[in-house]
Amino acid sequence: MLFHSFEFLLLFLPLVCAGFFLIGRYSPRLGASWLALSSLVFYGYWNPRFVLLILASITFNYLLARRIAARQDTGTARHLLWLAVSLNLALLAYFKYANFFLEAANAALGNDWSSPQILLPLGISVFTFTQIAFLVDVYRGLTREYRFVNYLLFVAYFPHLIAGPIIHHRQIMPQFDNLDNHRARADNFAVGLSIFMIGLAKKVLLASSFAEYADPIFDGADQGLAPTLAAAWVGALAYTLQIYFDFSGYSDMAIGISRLFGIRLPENFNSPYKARSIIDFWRRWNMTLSQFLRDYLYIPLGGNRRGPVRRYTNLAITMLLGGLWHGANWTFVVWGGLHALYLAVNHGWNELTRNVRRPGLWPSRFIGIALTFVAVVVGWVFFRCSTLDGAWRMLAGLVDLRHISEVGLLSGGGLDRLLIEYWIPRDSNYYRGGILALGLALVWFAPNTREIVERASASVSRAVFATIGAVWFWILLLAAIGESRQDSQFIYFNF
Amino acid sequence: MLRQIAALSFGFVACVFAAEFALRGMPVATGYHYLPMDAANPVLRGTAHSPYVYSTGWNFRRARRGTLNNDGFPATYDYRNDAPARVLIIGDSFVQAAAVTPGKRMHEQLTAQIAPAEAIALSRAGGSLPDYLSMAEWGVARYEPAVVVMLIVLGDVEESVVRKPGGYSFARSGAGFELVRQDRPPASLLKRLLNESMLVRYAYDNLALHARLGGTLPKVHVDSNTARGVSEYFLDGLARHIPANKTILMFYRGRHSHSFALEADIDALLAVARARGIRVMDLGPAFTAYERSHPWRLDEAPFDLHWNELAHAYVAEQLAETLRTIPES
Repeated sequence: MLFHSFEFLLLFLPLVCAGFFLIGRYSPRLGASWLALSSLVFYGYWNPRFVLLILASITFNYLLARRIAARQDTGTARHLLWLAVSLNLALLAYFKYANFFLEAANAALGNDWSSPQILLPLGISVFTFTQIAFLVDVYRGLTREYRFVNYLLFVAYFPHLIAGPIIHHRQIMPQFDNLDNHRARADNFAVGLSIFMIGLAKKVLLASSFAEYADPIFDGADQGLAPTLAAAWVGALAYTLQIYFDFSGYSDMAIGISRLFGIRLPENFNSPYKARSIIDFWRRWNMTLSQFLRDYLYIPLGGNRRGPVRRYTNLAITMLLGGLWHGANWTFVVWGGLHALYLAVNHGWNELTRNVRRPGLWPSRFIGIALTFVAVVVGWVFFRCSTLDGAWRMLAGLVDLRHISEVGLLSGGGLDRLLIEYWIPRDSNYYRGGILALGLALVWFAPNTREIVERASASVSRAVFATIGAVWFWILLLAAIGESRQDSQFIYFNF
Repeated sequence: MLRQIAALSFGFVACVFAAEFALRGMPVATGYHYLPMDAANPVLRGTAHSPYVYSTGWNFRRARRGTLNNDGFPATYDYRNDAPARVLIIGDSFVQAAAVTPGKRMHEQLTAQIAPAEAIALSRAGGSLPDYLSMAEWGVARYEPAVVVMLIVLGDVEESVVRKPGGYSFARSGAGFELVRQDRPPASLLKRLLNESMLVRYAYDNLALHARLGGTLPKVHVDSNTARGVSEYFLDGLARHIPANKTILMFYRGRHSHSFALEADIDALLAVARARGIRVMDLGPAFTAYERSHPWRLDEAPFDLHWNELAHAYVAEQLAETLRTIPES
């Protein structure tokens, strides 16, 4: 069930809201149970079989967390933690990486072992990482005693379950116990629906429009067609915009829905393409994953506390695993490795220029933003392509100056075939250029969702109910647009 | 509580009006203003000289503005029955070509090539063999054409047995079939009022709400005996209005057909037509050859698999060549 489907908006969401506030008024614990049950229904709507999987995972981790908590500061606790983390990672590895490792083994050993048909359960990365973080914090003594229903809700909470943001128990679980959150509040509805509306607009108006340009060009490159300079840049820029609007749109929608229940999910994007360096970029992009990787991988590996060599090694391990987290494909590994290299260069540069006074002049800001953006665009080429060959073809296209005069996409040799075979829209160059320019202007100059909502909150608070009515109309219209475009799932559902 | 509901409704309704106001400045699809269809007006056609706007999708892709002609069909010229030689073209949405710039549609481009002769195009979106037959009957009587050209597309045989308002179908009658008309009554007051709202039109046409409300024909499968019977009945009916040597069946298979059953039914129809001396033009090989030698597509995929202006020009050219080979007598 997609957030922007009419089944969700007109049936599921109103029912869940009504039930939660009606039941929660009399018994907050029952209210939380209702929300947890609804979350499982939401998850099961996609494939009921995997409800058992997530329930088993949650129950197992909860029981083990209790045992770890009971034996804190003992060797047993440490062993239990290792066992729990290993089993969680094994589950993830089976569903997500079995075929990848099998194919790698086949290639290395010359075997011909057949790959099993494994369906990836939606959100498995999110609920696995969420629980690993919880277990580690239980071991560190950073958690309180929680009831099972709260833990179940924390892991399976439907707004974040499929594609994040990755939530932390310290941020979320106390909110489930807050009695205030069990009462319907108009201001939460006004703000939540506004955030949801912005996310929905990002998805159906922007991300899907850029996908129309990116998909045929990347698919063509994966199939062996060499894009021209113009085609490669259109494809790469379109995907750069698509993935931002798609993922940040999804995060906004999740944050907005959660706000209806009074639960504030953490921010996941902070205008990442305005970043002045790669370090800055990773503080703004998929922030909850970055924080998770920092707190539960980079720092436990030693972080930057054991000298420069270990620091760069830890950085490389973290980014390579972060890349592999996105999918079982060498393209993701290269993407992670590329970002590890970027970060190493960035840290190295910072070390070199530590004592140099940096004036905050706009040319230096501009150069920083432009360099970071180009580096990120190149990274996305690997992220989007299904094959390394396709990625190399795209990169060759990005620097193929032989056809620099062929700015008209329709006159390029490679793209002509794309037009025939892969259905790239036959729009005029002005239209195509205009759409890309609009997208770039939005990511570079427009305020992000949080800034928009903060600025509008004063006027919203003066007319809360009118705002709810108004925003609801635009949500329905945007959902109808999404329906007409047959917008399917979000990019990050695959991860 | 009442105040809160009023405020909520106010916010919603204010946005409805804002959207309505904004859409009035946009090329929202209006569709054609069709006349009621009954015994006195047996083909589906629009009000004479009424304007229309065509656009598709949420962002008004391929917006076109035009006016129907004197007989209520999309053409930039009025149809007359006193032109030196008339070519009657009959078909469905491919011939109607709502998404093509007025003046660039196949019949208009053909007229430019065969002047002073004139091409007259009768079309009905979603039409199939019984509609074509009824239009042939009506058009031959009205315009007395020298040649009738009919565009057949995949699915036309199967859809012949589906009843639709404002259209014809073939219904079983004893051992054979009969042509059945389903009248289209005048629009109700509510429908006319809703039609005036650009927001409703936008949702219905541009956002394809009509497809969700069951506005598209159901997919049907007919057995091969029925398909053969339908084809025979259609060709018999055609023969009553125009001689076989003055009839051309153009066939367009579509770009991505994977239905062997549909193809087999059409192939059978075309085989019978050929056996009866009807000229058959299969556009498939010509389209493939064109796209191999040109860097252009002939449709607007992925948004629309109908022909674009290039295709209309190309088909007009092919048709003009074929017409030159038909003796005038």
